Amino acid sequence: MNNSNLSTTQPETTGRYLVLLQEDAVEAGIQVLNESAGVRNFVKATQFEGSDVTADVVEGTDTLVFDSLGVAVVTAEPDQFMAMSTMAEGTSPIIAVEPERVVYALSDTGFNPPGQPVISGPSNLSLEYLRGYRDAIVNLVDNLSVTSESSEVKQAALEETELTWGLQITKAAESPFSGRGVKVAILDTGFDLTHPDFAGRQVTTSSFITNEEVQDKQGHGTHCIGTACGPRTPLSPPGYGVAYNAEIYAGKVLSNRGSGSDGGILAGIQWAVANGCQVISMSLGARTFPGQRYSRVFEAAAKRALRRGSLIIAAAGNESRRDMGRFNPVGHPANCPSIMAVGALDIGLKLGFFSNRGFDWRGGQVDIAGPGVNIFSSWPMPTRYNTISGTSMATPHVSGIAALYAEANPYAGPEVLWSLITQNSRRLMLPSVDVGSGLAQAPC
Amino acid sequence: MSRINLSVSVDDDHINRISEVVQNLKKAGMKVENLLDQLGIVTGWCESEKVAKVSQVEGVLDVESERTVQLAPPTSYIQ
Repeated sequence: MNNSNLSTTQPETTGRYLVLLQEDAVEAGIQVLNESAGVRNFVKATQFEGSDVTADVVEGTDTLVFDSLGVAVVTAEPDQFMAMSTMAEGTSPIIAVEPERVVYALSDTGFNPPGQPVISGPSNLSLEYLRGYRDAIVNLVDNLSVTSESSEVKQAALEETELTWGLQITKAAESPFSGRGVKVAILDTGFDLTHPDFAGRQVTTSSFITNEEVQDKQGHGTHCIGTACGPRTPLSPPGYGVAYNAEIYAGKVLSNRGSGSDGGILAGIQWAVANGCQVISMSLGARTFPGQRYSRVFEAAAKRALRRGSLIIAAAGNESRRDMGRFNPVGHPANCPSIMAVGALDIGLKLGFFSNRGFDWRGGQVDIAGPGVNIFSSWPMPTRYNTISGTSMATPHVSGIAALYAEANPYAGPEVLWSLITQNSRRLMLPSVDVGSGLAQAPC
Repeated sequence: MSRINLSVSVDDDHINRISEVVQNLKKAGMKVENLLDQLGIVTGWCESEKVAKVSQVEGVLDVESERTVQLAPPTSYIQ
């Protein structure tokens, strides 16, 4: 590797350092920087209240402290940098130290940093361009070869001897969180209350179907509850539940024949909200048609649920036949903007051929995707287990993951949970109209 | 004349006076089955010719006729 290559791969730095201080200990941090690293001449950004911190200020002081951010910009000699780095490794008000980078505005011409003179005219510019192009190609080839290797490894690792592929690919398998202390409502066909895999679990139930008990005689509800909240170590593997310590709220809003209506679903949502469920999982929906608007009533209900602390997650629907070029819009009520709509992926991270698509936002869009093809989970006894497919199966994966985020961030409201799920999702080389921000990933 | 099942949302200004809205919905001809106070929604039914009157009740945001959902049979591969 020669020098010119180095300069294109290593970030340009200013000679100053960024020091991240503990949010509640900025003063203590300044003191430590002064006493242990000999940093002096501190100026605080809040001293410039009302006027911006200008370039002159930054250049003219040794150390500028952005107190509201908990960040200090420090001019330091190498030995001072070493001293600060050592402190960041131990317990001190200093969390991290890193060299300040040079950043440029992104420009159309791109290949030359603005403000930097073009030394020898346009021919040099194109040489820079070609170098950049070469590096990009090398990088691309390197990345591609790594990807194909690692995906082979992944494929081998996704055998379901211990855990389902859905738990593995969403990283739920590796998450330190289990949904403990989080209430998850699953509004569906009820639950098999006699299922041995759930013995000893906290389960609260209610039926919103006239003349039917919560006991699930259809299967769908028991399967969805299994994915969202089922066990990791059942008597016979594989484990299949994402939030395996969450509190289960099983609301029966679909009959044993699998049918339901708006009134019962809304009553179920009300019950879940009143019980303080942070997550409401709804693997249900009605077909919609292109151009059809979302339900104003469900949108109002979902907004008010968000206001009261509940995030509603619903299936995008299965009416598409992608293999035949047929795409159906997201179903009701997943098409409401304030309800998170989930599309279905298979083990190769390809779309389930049935998974619906967002047409335009007023008609609803897919927000996120989850494992939804060949999903192993619980089924009413004596059958015990079943492997089925659908956006109904993808939805409880995301709901379980939402419960893990709720446990990891106990003060996060439902809007924050929504952001955490989409921010941390794994981006895919698939259209966002089909998978939203990508494959949901558990917090690590 | 036919019965229509309805979901009615109440606007934010009337959500704290929802029982008042319910009284007026009843006067307009709605048979109220469920008051969902957490969501500001009232469900029930009315005769089809009363829908317009129900929609005009003060505090009513939207009135929708009830949709139904139907799962695939439990033996189906896609759920």
